[in-house]
Amino acid sequence: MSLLRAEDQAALRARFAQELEGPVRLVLFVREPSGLYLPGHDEPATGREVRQLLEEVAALSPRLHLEVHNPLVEPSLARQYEIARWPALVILPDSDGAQPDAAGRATGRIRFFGLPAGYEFATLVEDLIDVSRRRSRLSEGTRRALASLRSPLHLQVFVTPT
Amino acid sequence: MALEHAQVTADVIEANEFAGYSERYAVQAVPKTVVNDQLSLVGALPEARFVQEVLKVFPDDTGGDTGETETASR
Repeated sequence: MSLLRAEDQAALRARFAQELEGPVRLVLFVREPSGLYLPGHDEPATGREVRQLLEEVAALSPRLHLEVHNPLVEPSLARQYEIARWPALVILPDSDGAQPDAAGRATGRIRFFGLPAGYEFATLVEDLIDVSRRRSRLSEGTRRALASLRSPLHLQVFVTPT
Repeated sequence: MALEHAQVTADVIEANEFAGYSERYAVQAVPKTVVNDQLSLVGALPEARFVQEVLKVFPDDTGGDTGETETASR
């Protein structure tokens, strides 16, 4: 059974066709990529739901590429993305020759922890589009304020599904 | 903001699924934004105000503004 309704899939497919530009990588860390729920594990079933949801989303555009990794099987990859809890999704532009900075990153990092449900699903869609376009919708004032940033800025936004 | 600068990491964390982690930051009302583990903002702010508050973690860059800012609890 799909998580996304057919009409939502159709609407998203059309929106992605119109608004996505460059390719986007969706790097997902879940503990049980096989989708098997093992009784006794403390990981909530959201790992399976997140994977299924993102598979459905990624199927809606050839510009979206989903990779699924198990942080316990690939701990060095999890460390590379600084992933300490999961399920975790990192949204990145697919490599397009962008030059990395001194920390080895070409762009800032956008990550989702847990199931992006309700309002956060809309946020996810907007983020996919923005990453695909390689630009934000921030004002010129904000961009100027950020331009002088020299130290890491870590923003953690705690949300609940509404 | 993460799109604009490689130094920015922007995380969205579902507080119910990560209740233990959220407790560390005393998350009650959402959205709650924690900046560099140093200060937090509750609620949604207009963009300019949000950026102004966030950049208070770098007092040198903001010219030493002081303001009413809730600090994160550990």
